[in-house]
Amino acid sequence: MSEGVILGELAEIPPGESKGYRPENEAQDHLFVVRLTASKVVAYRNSCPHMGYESAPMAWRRDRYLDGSKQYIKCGSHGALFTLNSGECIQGPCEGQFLTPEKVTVDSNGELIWWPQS
Amino acid sequence: MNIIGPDELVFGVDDVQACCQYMTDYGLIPVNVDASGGRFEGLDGTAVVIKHRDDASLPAALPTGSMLRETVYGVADQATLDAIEAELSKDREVGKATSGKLTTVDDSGFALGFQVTCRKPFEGKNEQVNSPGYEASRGPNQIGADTSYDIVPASLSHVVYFVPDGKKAESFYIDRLGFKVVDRFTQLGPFLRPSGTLDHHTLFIIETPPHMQGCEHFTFHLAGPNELLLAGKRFQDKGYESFWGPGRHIFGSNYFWYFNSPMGVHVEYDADMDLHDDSWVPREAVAEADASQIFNFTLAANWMPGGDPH
Repeated sequence: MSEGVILGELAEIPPGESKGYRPENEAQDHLFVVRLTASKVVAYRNSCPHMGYESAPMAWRRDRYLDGSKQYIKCGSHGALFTLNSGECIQGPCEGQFLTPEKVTVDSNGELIWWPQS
Repeated sequence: MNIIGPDELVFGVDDVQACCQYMTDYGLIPVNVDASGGRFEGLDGTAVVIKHRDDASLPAALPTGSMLRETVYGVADQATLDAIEAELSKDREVGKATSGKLTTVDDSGFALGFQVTCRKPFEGKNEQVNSPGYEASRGPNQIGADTSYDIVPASLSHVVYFVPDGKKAESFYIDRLGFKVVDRFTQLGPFLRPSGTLDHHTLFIIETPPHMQGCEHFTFHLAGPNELLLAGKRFQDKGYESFWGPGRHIFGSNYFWYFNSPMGVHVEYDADMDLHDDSWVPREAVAEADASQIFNFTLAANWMPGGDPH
């Protein structure tokens, strides 16, 4: 079983907003977390499934992964919209495809823990 | 058809404030900007226009939801506008706004406008390089590493479409509007130049599955490669997400640096594009990394060797 990696404090993400993380000091975000409610988060790899653009970074600005309504994840490459809860693309060039989920939990101290999949 | 190139790109967006901030930070000059959007101009008056996607003045959106809602071409004169109206009225509806702008759609469904160009003379910066063996273009005591000014992109250069039927799309521009193929990527599509400019391309067409139809990117010309590198670094330092570059393309020779955007397209800085005339024989290449660019870099943080003395 892999070990958890502390990403940071949940409190750093306002409810309804997103934040990107570079746990190994990468040049760009490896994953991003969306804080759905006060205590619930979802996380996905920062990699659009758009054919021909696989692995393209998705934010249009640091930590900005959501559309204007904050109801969808929006790719800053070509505007694909993904549901927050399942990561399914419901509009755009990768419609029907899914983001790669990442397991991120919140511990009792309010810290975000990332559980890398081996 | 004396079409010069794109005068305006009009976007209908979900987040007006974010897009307005983005275009301002990109370096364009905000004109009449408020909560409903506005116009963002380069030095020659060419522009990106941001509106909310539900704005009633916008042409209909593509079924794919692309936020690019209209490409407005600048033409040399009224005679050219009349010729375009006569040609396109043969098989489609051509509207005419009170300003005289013509409105229609191309054969892929992209909304088009045509107007006597809004481009105006401007004083550009000439990037001067001292090359050994040639007379210095920057004389004694003229400083090259000038960071003292705000970089304003000069001129709307080109737009790139994803289209479902490449042959049909390019035929419209070539057969109906007089564009010329300058170069071609075999499995993607052509770089197209209208007759009113010598720029390598003002339109590049990429064939994709129908559900991908939309806009890949647009770009404004900057004064030169140094300005491009500095503008891109400043943009990235503001937190904007680099997608590709900086580098230098082979077709067109333009330096490039592409960024993600809240308009759901890539936005490029480009500089030093090749010019071509009708004597040029188009090249064709299979689209692959080494055919696309001669080099591609990633910005690193400013740094210098430590230790003292060394």
